[in-house]
Amino acid sequence: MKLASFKVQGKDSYGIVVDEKKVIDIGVIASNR
Amino acid sequence: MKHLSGGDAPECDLDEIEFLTPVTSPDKILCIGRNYKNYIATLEGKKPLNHPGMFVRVASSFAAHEQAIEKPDASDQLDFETELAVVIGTQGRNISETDALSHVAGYTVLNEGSIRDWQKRGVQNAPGKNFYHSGSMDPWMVTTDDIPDPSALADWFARIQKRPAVKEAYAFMDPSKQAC
Repeated sequence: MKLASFKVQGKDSYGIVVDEKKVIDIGVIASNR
Repeated sequence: MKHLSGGDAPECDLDEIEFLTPVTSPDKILCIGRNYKNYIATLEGKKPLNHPGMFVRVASSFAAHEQAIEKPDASDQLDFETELAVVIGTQGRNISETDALSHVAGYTVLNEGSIRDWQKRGVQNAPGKNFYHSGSMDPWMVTTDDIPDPSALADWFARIQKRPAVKEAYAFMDPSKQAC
């Protein structure tokens, strides 16, 4: 599995890209780190 | 994570996001160098050490995907190197060699940019290794379920670096090839 961290431009949100195709915003999880 | 990746539609497109480094706030970035005797022998003017070279880089010394690498005003000697980065997923201390890989979450690739003349100031590498965004990090971390044997990466690294001797340097699963 390929994972990447990102933030959505214009938003204070972070998440993880999975396998280059599916972008999942898991900002709640990220903010808890 | 596998559960998250299956089924649901993406919440946004890739072109809507700004990539960060795969691990956004690493506790530490430990770098090892000159740790394979045969590889070192191919480097002009370099001699094997009794112990591997080791230095620390700060997270801000790496730019993320699509961010610019920055040459500092202090030097014109910005150089690049391709390096394999091992991302530790499970903390631990006094870890046995046989258990070591169970602590690895995945792998990514670094452009381990260095400011060569600043490396030679004093006795530590650190000044030349930590200028802001002097290196960069691949956007992707490939998890260990896709790379159960990291020594399999040796051929790939030797090919992209166009240096066959690099293959030994990345065959780190074989203790007989390690200098230290």
